[in-house]
Formats: sequence, C-alpha cells, structure tokens
Amino acid sequence: MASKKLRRAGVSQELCELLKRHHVESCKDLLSLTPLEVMRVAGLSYQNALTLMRSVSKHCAPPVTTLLELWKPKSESFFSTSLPALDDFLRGGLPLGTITEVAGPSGCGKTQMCVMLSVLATLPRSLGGLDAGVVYIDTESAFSAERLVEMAQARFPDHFSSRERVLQMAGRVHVFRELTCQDVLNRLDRLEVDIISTKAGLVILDSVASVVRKEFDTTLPGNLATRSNLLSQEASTLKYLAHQFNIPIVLTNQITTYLGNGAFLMLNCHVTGVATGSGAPGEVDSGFVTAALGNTWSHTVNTRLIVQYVGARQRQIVIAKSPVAPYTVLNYTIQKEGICLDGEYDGLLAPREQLDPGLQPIRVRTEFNYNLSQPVETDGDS
Amino acid sequence: MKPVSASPLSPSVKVKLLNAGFHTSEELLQLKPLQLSKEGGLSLEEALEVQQILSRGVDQPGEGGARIGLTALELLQQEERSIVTFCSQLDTALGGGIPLGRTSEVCGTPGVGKTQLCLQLCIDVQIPECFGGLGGQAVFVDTEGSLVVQRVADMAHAAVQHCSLQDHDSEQQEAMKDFTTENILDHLYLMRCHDYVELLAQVQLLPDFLVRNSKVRLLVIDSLAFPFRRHFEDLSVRTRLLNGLAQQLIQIASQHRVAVVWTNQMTSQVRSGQWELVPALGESWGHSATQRLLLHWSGTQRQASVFKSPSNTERSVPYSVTQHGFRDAPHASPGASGPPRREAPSGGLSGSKRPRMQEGQ
Amino acid sequence: MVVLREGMCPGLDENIVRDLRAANITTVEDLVASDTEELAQKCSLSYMALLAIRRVLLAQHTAFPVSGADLYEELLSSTAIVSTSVPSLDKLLDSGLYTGEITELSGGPGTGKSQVCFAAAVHTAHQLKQSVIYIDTTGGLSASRLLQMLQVQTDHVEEQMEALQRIRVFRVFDIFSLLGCLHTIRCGGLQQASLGGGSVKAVIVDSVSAIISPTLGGKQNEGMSLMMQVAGALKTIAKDFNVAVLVTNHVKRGAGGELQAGLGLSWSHVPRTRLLLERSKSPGPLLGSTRTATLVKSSRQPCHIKAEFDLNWVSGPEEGLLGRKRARDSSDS
Repeated sequence: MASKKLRRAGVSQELCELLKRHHVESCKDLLSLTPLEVMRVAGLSYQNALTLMRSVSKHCAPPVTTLLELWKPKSESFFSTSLPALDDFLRGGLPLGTITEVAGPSGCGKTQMCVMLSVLATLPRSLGGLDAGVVYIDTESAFSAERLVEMAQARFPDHFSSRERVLQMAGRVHVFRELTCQDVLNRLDRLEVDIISTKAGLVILDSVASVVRKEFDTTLPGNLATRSNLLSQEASTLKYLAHQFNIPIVLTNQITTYLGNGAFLMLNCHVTGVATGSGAPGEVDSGFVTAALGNTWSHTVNTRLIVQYVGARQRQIVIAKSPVAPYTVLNYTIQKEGICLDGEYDGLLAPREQLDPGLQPIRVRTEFNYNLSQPVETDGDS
Repeated sequence: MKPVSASPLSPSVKVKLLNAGFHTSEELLQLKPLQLSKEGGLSLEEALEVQQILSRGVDQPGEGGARIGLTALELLQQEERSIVTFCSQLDTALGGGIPLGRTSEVCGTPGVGKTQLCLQLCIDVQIPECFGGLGGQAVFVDTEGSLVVQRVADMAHAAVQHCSLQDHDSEQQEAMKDFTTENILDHLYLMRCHDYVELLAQVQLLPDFLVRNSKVRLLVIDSLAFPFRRHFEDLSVRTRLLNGLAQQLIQIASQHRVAVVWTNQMTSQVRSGQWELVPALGESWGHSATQRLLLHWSGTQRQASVFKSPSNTERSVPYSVTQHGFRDAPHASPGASGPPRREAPSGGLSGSKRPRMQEGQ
Repeated sequence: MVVLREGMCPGLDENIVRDLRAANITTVEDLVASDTEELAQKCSLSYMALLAIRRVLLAQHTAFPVSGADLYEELLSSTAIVSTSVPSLDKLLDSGLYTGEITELSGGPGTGKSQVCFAAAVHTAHQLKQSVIYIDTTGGLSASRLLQMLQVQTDHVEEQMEALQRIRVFRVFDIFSLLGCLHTIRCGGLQQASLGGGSVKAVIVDSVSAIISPTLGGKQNEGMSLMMQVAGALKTIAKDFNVAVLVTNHVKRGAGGELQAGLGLSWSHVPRTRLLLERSKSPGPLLGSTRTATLVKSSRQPCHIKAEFDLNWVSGPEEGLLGRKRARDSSDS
C-alpha cells in the first residue's frame, strides 16, 4: 500500500505535478519526508503540510481491528502438528499467519519434520489438516517424494489406503528446488502467485540458512551487511504473506558453533549479560552451539523450535521461543511414520507454571548444549 | 516582535516576505490583505493565509496550557497514574508501573518476554477502576506479526480470574460483569503494520483515533525497531524519521494521557574490542523514550532493569513469564534447594549445566 | 532591512514614503546608505526634513557602543550565579550557572542530564526563592520527582508547594511551538511566570536536541535557520532578562569513537559553557549511580577538567543508599 501513487491518495493534480518535480510520487516518498521537507517541496505552511501528510496517511494506513474480531476457535488459528504434547504446549499447533523456525544439526530431523507437516497440511479438516496445498521450497535437494508417500501411509494408514488418495496428496505438495540465493529470492517474489495458484495452506522453506551461508562468507568485510539485508528482505516478504494469507510458514535453520572469542562469529552472537553487567563470569564458554544467522534473524521468527540429539536414536524438540508456550523440552524419535514423541508425555501433561531451572542450563534460549562428540546418525531414513 | 523567519509559513512565501523587507509578524499584521499582497508580491490567497497563520500565533494562547505553561504544582496534581505490570517487584522499581503520559521503551533479546510484557499491560490497563485499575482501553501496533490472539485470551482470562477472587463489594461485582475475556479483547485495538511507511502513516492518524476512542490509555508498538532495521540505504533518512516519530509519540503520550510503550531489539556491537549487546537503532535513539527498560537473562533468571528514568533509581528486578502472563519471579532462589524437578534426559546436558548454575549463584 | 512606512518617525508621511519609493528607497537601510543631498534633489523633498528623518531612524536602529568599564560595572551589578546544587558540577562551572549565558549539558541516555536540570530547578525555586521556567520537550519532567527532591530539603509541605509553584512548565513538541513559546516568554511570559513570587532566574530547556534534530538534514535548509532562531531567542532571553539558560543536548560518536555533543558545529557556538556527562566506568554493577562530567567548553575555566558526581546525592543520601543496596541485592540473586 505504501507505493500507492499520490494521485490515487486524493492529492490534487496540481500538487502532484509540483511534488513530482522533487521526485515525490508515492505515499512512501511523501511520508519519508519530515514536515519541514514537505513545506519546502510542496510550498505549504506548516499546518497545511501536516494536513497533507495526514490525509495521505489515511490512504495507506492499515485498518484497525479489535482482537475480538480476530478471536477464532483454536482449530482455525493453529495448524496441528499431530504431536499431542507439542500441540498442547503451543496451544493447538503452529500459529497461522506467523513464521515458525526449526533449527538443529544436520540429520536430526528438520527435513523429516517438514515432510511430515506437508502431509498434514493436505489432510482434510476432519483429520486435523488444512485441506490445502503446500509450497515446499527446497534449497538442499533434501526432499524425497518416496519418503513423503511412506510417511503418509505409515502415519495415516486408514486415510491413505487407496492409491488414489496418496497420489492426490502427493499432487498437492508443490516442490520448488532453488539452489542459489538469487533463485530463492526470485521464488519468494513469485510466492504470492504460487500460493494462490496452488491453493497453498502451508509454505515451507528448507532451509533458509544453507544458501546464504554457502554464498556469504561473513569473515569477508561487507558480506555481513549484504547478508543481513538479504535475510531481512526474505523475512519481510514471508511475514507479509503469512499474515495476508493467514497461513503458517515453516523455515529450517542450521546451527553454528560459537567459539567464545568473538572473532569468528559475527552475527551469531553469544547473548551474554554484558550489556547489563549482571552476567556471571565464566559464562562465555567455548564450543557451544546455537542457531545460525544471528541475533537479528532470531527476532524475525515468531516461534523457534530446536531439534537436538540426546542419544543415538533419541532426540529432543525444544520450544525455544514462542509467543504462547513456555520453554519446553520434549523427547522424540524418528520412525517410519515421521516424528514420534516419547510416550511419557501422553498429552496429559499440563504446561509447567514456572521454568524449571533444572531444564534450563542455558543462559539464553537461543543457545543449547550440544555434545560435539556425538555421532551424527541418519537412522531417520530407515 | 516575533520574527517572520521563525514562523511556520511556507519557505517560498517566507523568502518573498523577507525580500520585501518584512521582518516581524507585527509589520505584516498591520497591513490589510490587499496591501500585503501588493507589497509582498503574494497572491491574495497567500496574503490572507499568512495573516491567518500569524494572528493565530499572536492572539490565541495556543492549545491548552502549552503557551501559558503550568506550574509544577499543577503538574503534580494532575500527575498521571500508572499501569501495573502484575510483577510487584517491577512495579516498585518503576514507582507504581508504566506511567501514563510518558513514553517507555522495552529492550531485550528475542524470546525474553518483551511482547508478553506489552500484552500484559494491554490487559492490565483495562482493569476496572474499583479494583484500582484504570478502566481504559489499549491500542496494539504489531509490526512483527507476533501477536497470537489465543495467548491474549488466555492472559485475559487469568486476569479476570485474578480480579474475580477479590470482588468484595457490590460495586466490584457489578464491574466484574463487564470485565470479561470477550470485552478485554473487544477493547484491544490491533493495527498491523507491514513496513515503516504504514507505521508512520498509522502514527500520523493516531491522534485522531485517540480523540474518537477517548478511553484508550495505552499505546503499544511491538516492535518499533523491526520496520526500521532494513530498507534504508541512507541511514540519515532513518535517523530523521525516527527522531520525528519519537517526537510525535511523546506528543501523543502527553496530549492524550496515554502511556506509550514500544519495544526495541538488541544488536551486537564491538566496543573496546569486546562484543556486546546494545539496544538497536543507534545511540541517540536512546534519548527518545522517557524511560527505558532492559529485559535480559541473568543465569536462569529473567531480569528487568530500569535503565533510564527521570523519576526512579536504576535497579534490576527478577520476573517470570508464566502461562498466565507476566508475573513475579518465584520466591525461592532458582536452583538453590533440592534437585531439579525433572532431570533433562541427557547425561551430557546435565553434566555441563550444574557447574554453570553454581557460577550463577 | 526594515521597510519604510508612514508614521515610523515624525515627518515621515505618506507622500514622502511614496516619493522615496519612487526613487527606489524602500527600507531604512536604503535611506541611510544613500546620499541625503542627492536624494532630496531627486525626490524634490526638503533636505532638512530628510536629514531629520534620517537622524531619527538612525537613532532608532543603531547599536550603541558600550565601554568595557560600563560593561564590567553592569556585569558586577546584575550577574548572578545560580547553583546547580551539585557541588562538583558547580566547581566545574566556576560556582554555577551564570545569568545572561547559555549553559549546555550534553550526554548519552540515562547520564543524568534531566536529573541535573531538576536539581537546578528545585534549588532555584526553593533555596533562592526565585522562579524557573522549564520547557519540557521530551515529556520527561516528573513533578513527583521534583517533590521528592524538595522533601529531602525541607519537611514543610507549604514550602514544598511554594517551591513547586515557582517552577513554570511549558510542554512543547515541535520546533514552531518552541519558537512560539520562547516568543511568549520574551514578551510578557516572564512577568506572568514570576507571579508565584520572585523573578525568573533560570530558563531550562530539556532537551533542545529532541526538537531540533528532526528538523535538520534532508531536502531543505529551513531547519538550520530555525535552529539559529532558537539559539537567538535563547540568547536574547538570557541577556535581556538576565537569566541563566540551561539546555540539554544529546551526544553522538565521532569518527574516532569519541563522544561529541549533538546538533553539529553551528550549534556548538551557541552555549557559552558546555558539560559532557558520562556514566562512570566502575568495576561494580553497571547500574551505578556515579556520573562523570567533563568541561568541554568554557570561557572561565581550563577545559577538559573532570568531576564525578552521584545521582543519588541529588535525591538525598538516604534514598540513594537504599536504592543502591536494593539494586545490588537483586542483581546478585
């Protein structure tokens, strides 16, 4: 709305011509000026300049709603993950209209999670799905159609009993393989069209980190800024679309090692209490792992889930940032049918009132401990 | 003798008047519009406008007490009330809560609870007056898309429960009938802004909105930083826009008796060879808010620090975010007594966390 | 450049103005600069009449020379020094804020600029029993904080209330309102403000940068001219009414990372004295209350001398101790 031409915002022809001479053509151009600048370019008095700015604002300010108008039953504002305990903590699943990030080391099940969510999105509403298409942007060539079908059949044997249904499901998952930053950006530019044409109810970008990290060596000067710009451009597009279509957007992110000397990780900053001076000494430990792409990026995602290894087969999902859920750790394994939570949280567990300090060995939620000597297994594809 | 060059006239008109030898508004007001248009080389409309603008400045003492001023005593008598945060320690540190008529900035790392605090305030501002609240309404400007209605509904429900436990007299019982989750959500206006232009436009229109909805006592912008952290090739444009925005928000706060709260992100910066985390948007932005609150982690404990405040000493207090919302930290010092309730199911994890917790104490 | 108009001085009637205008003489300046004899011939006016007019106009519009001795005499009789009530700052300022001058406090957020302004206002209103004009542009003035400071100094509620009445607050949020406000103060506002008892001894603008900085830069240069208007108005107020003017300013980092006062070079000539406030680098918790002040510009003292002061001292030692103790307790837990 911001690029709306001034003429369409109720500004008189004469004034438009005048402003155009100063390269002020859209609402954005005008509102980016200070009142004094408007006085100058439009030749108006202070009062009239303010009036002009206000009347232009009316044409590009978003509408006001009350929360009551937006308050819908749970099933209409959340996308169930089909994992009862996780849904419980997230108050019903991934919130629609927002961005959810899954971060974790390779082979830990990020892609499995994405594939599983793809299956779920295509399910009819009676089964907890969205009855919609999926736009799956794959930057790592990790998506496997066989796995999609396998997971669907293993997870919902009753529903996917007929070959027809399986094909229909697979047909609704639209995979785009984009292997460079530019390709991803182009795809995002067209995403609006893709979402409409595929009737998508879920957008997955797997992974947001791999291409940018591959193409931008942040140790080189200038690259860091370019990368941040690129990422925030992606983020704002995704946020806009998530909100406009009211669909969940799922991204995956890689992890990065923080070495504690500050020299290596530019944006992937260790968030210590230095700014407040209250941090205890010794918390700058060496060699822990945190989600990649830095602090600014962390502000962008609305919900952050971290997947991590515990043992050879055992993994954990950590709800590290969420507008609704407290910090939570859930155990899971990867089975034929996708991600399965361990039985002990049988959906009966009420969310804890208070953060259990025993479960929070970390100072900042974006960090987590990770045993580097742990073997990286890929038994998820068994 | 008010100089013409200091008047809010359009620059081109000003130049014409100065060239014609007019220096003070008195000189201009002595003339009839026809004379002025002839001597100043202005069109008749311009001449009339000039006189209207200038006489407005001279005759009327301006809106309210802006021109005459108030004594500090009068100011003290109308000194505004505050919105409680539901974290009693933080309320004490802030001298009663987030004050009306002022601007406050909440800074913090992702997930530390900035949005939670804002939402809690949106609900608390609506607590009926007979419960010691303000019985107001709230505006939430969302630029990050992190508002989840369900979460607000939960927090509202908790606040309603909290009040219903205290309704003793009939007046309070009467008030409770209207203090419901539905009404709280109905009195919370949401404005979703996708970029900084929409935000600027919205802020331009807010004074009108606040006149129409005169019960609004709280304006939240979550977050102010996000739309301004990109799209700017020329950083001086950003600084200029932000400075202007801050001034507008201060004006809104003071003229409409609302508390203005905005959130800011943190960014990393090298200073004296060390990486440290500082609030985003640059150093001079730090002046904009009347008071500044920094939310951060201290070990396993969340802490809020009052960092800049004209009326309170700087201090840090612990708080927590629970299912019900923004609350006091539990009394027991974290991890001090007994083993953790539920062991993290990993040897590697628990092995590395214990020494850290001891350090934290 | 003042336009010639009938009735400006005796003898200057409509006809003469018209005749002069025909000879391309429209302003006082033109008249004074032209050769009177020639002009009299050109406009067929009486030489004597024209000379008389010229003399009167000159008298009306010239600046008078003043001898240094007179100036010194005047200085001794009229200059007062208003204490900031913070001893170490007073020492830096050579015993306080001088009337007739502009003093500036610059510093980052939370460095205590407003606190010093409050303290100076309270001191003037209570100890000196003089009035203060406080122009608040950031909404930062807290009357309850002023009261708190007064309570430390006196237990009498009446005295506190009287002192508060002597502080007159103007709230302005844009540059034109500020100019309008300064203008009102200049023509009559000072007398009005002094109704509470005592004459106005201090005008405080907190902060001047908040209003000016949004107007600078961009596709216009009006802002610069408006800034100089503000500066001029403040100087006139300081001189004509013989009051101390205290303004606050923000800081920015220079190329080498050092702190500089904001608003650029043009503004830096405006204040006679300039202090830079910083948080003291203490080994303890960051939320310390000590601040360092550096004298950056002064015509009386050597520059770059430093002094430390404690914000809690301003609010009274007891409260300060308590506050600090609490802060430490909570940051330790």
